[in-house]
Amino acid sequence: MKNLYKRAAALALAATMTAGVLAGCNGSNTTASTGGGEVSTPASGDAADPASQPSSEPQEITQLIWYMSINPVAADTEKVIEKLNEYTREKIGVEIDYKVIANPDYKEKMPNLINAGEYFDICFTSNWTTDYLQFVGKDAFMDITELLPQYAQDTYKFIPEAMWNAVKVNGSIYGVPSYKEMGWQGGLVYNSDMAEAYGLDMTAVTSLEDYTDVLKTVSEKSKAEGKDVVGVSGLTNAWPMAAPYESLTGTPSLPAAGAVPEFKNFADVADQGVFNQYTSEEYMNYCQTVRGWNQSGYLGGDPVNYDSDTANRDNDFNNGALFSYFIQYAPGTAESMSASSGHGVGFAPLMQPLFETRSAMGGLLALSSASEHPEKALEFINLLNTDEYVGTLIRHGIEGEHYTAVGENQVDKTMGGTLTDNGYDYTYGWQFGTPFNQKWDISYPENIEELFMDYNESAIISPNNGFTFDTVPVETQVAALTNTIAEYAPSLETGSVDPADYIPKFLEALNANGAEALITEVKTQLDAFNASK
Amino acid sequence: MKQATMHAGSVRKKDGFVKTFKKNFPLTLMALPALVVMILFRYLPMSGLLLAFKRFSVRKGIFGSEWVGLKNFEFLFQTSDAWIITRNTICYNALFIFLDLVLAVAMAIGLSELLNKRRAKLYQTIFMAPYFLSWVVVSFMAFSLFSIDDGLFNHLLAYFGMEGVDWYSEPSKWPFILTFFQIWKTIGYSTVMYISSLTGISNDYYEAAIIDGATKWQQIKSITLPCLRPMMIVLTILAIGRIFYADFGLFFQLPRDSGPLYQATQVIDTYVYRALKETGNVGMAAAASLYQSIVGFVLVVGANLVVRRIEPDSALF
Repeated sequence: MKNLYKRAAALALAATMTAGVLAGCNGSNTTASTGGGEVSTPASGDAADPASQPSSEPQEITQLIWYMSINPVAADTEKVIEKLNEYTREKIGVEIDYKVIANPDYKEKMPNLINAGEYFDICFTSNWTTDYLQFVGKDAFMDITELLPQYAQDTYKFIPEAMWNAVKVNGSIYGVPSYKEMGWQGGLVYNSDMAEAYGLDMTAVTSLEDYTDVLKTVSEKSKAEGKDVVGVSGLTNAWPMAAPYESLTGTPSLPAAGAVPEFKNFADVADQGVFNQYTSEEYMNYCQTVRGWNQSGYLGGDPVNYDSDTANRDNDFNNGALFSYFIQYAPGTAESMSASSGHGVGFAPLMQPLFETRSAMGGLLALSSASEHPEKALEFINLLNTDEYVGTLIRHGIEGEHYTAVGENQVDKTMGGTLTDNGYDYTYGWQFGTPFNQKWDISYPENIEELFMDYNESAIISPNNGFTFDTVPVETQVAALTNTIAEYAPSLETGSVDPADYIPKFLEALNANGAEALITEVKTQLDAFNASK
Repeated sequence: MKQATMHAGSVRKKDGFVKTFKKNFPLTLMALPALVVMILFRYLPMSGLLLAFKRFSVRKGIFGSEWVGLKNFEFLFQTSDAWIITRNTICYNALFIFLDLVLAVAMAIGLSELLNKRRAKLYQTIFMAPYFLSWVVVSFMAFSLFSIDDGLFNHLLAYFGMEGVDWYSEPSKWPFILTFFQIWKTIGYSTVMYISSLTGISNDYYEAAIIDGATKWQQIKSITLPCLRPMMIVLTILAIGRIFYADFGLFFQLPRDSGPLYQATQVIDTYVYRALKETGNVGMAAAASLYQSIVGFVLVVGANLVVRRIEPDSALF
């Protein structure tokens, strides 16, 4: 019995809570050797004019700790970083201690590391992992507004001003954004072989209502062939594509939207300035359209769960069991997808690209506010954004080992085998900085950079671009609203429930949880922002 | 002991402590590692509780951050779901505690009455197995039963000519599903606890009872259950202390985060997770945790007080 009590007491103590936040420990095994200490630049070391080339004189090597998120982490990362360090040691006297974490883990680990005060110089941040605005609010990142033009001049010029404005918080820049496509464009990628076989004219699709007929044909014709093809997936992201609006909080699902005049939508609520997009006629129409799709069986039986399993979705898409899905499109995606899926892939845009504040926050490299080498860190970020050798190396690996150059601007990564054998293969490279100083994979069209420029030029810049919302005054409401939206929106937006019945309930719950307070706060901050312009 | 110290205290006050310490030195030494671990990982982090009242800044740290009073607690009460969250958390846990107690004791007695001991061990292992499964794994097992398209249940219903059920959007079914899986998963573990204390009951009682002509039922009622009582009370008090902590895996993974089920599946832990995963506010997370532990603490002390009134010997402290 005594034994029992002891155990009981231990259990009781274990039950007492500990609110201390324990950092996710991340044992590093990639510490690059600092051996050597100093490296003199061979060519210019002795003769160069120190004033014009301050970084090329013999000097101590600065070690920078760089936390990076990329998926999945390539096997040959260490080799590539070694190669990178050889270059950066000479060029700017910097050595990188590269701590790379796969996307899903980074999302969990990095916020803990920052909260626990772990030392680092550079880290990847965005609005989908290790939230940029949140950590700016917690003083985790360094204000680099002054340092940028001095130490990363080329990058400062290379990235358009609208991007810099968008990442500003209270007038200061805290991170270098990834410059790629500017803004987002919603639409549908579809199996173009199947579209052709069924005689579908996809260029006629400009809205969701148009798409109903397409889905009907796909369903009928595929059934006639004895196949069971799911017409469309990805509906949990589709609503803002059907009726684009400017998300003023930076989180599109939160009920605080602004109308973008070019899209000529939200006529019934636009005069309110900041409005709750769920009260609009557009939302009701959207929900009713997809409800129709759901009931006609175009979505498979279980759209919510189908959407969440992207591996299964990609598999179905490649095998022709799924006709189309909603995505945010970047130039070249369709071409690169058709290379990997084994059939033709087309893209039907539902809107023109829209550039709003949050679009610039898809990926940024930020400096820790505790960094001891902000100048060197910026010089390194500058290389990532402007140096062709560094860009291609970090994106595609080592020439001859991970890729062979094709012409001036392209690389072939098959290396006589398949891509799965390649020890350093990333589908996207923009997380490292920008794709514009990286060579392109041969699956992309040759004029890809032009396509990007066309896209960026066609982008509509949202009316309140540059406005960032500070959630602090309404954190309580945001917490409650986030729950409410998670409860109602997915089933409404996949047509799983009857909108006529369910939307009023949703609106009631939103109001009960402070939607009004949020909108009022957004209005106040927006007025202050516009007054200060 | 008390007398000894009193005596020592009155005569040689200073030597008393030293002497006791010397006498118990080996024992104290043995307790040291556990004590150090306890202080390091259980008491030191408690300073982090300050965060519940602060707006956390990475650079200013826990102690330097600005005070915000009770603002971090507001989000727990200002939602229209506050009542649902509290009701779900407490009612589910109360039900689990009750069922777990009754079923585990019944199973422990049943297994120990089995004459074939090897078979008893086999059953015990089978009941124990689900305890080691992760909730994520269990959620996929459940999904294979309840999936709308391919689920076993909907196939069965179709086979009998009945309409399929949209399991993941009908909250009315979930109290039963959740309870079933919770009991299925944890029952083995509690059963083992009771079996271990059953083996401690002396055989003499049973022999005497058999000589007096007691039936099996009478033996269980008058010997086994009274002997198990202290164990039942301890485990129940501890469980009551955790009544305000819901099993996140059960309530989040099993229903696959399905919105229409929130009325039946939203508990405090899932609410906090969903509320803070966007804003990542450390202060609010600490506030939620502190609130849970205060409720837990009050309940443990309260339950213990009640037990001490009724049966002083079985009280925890």
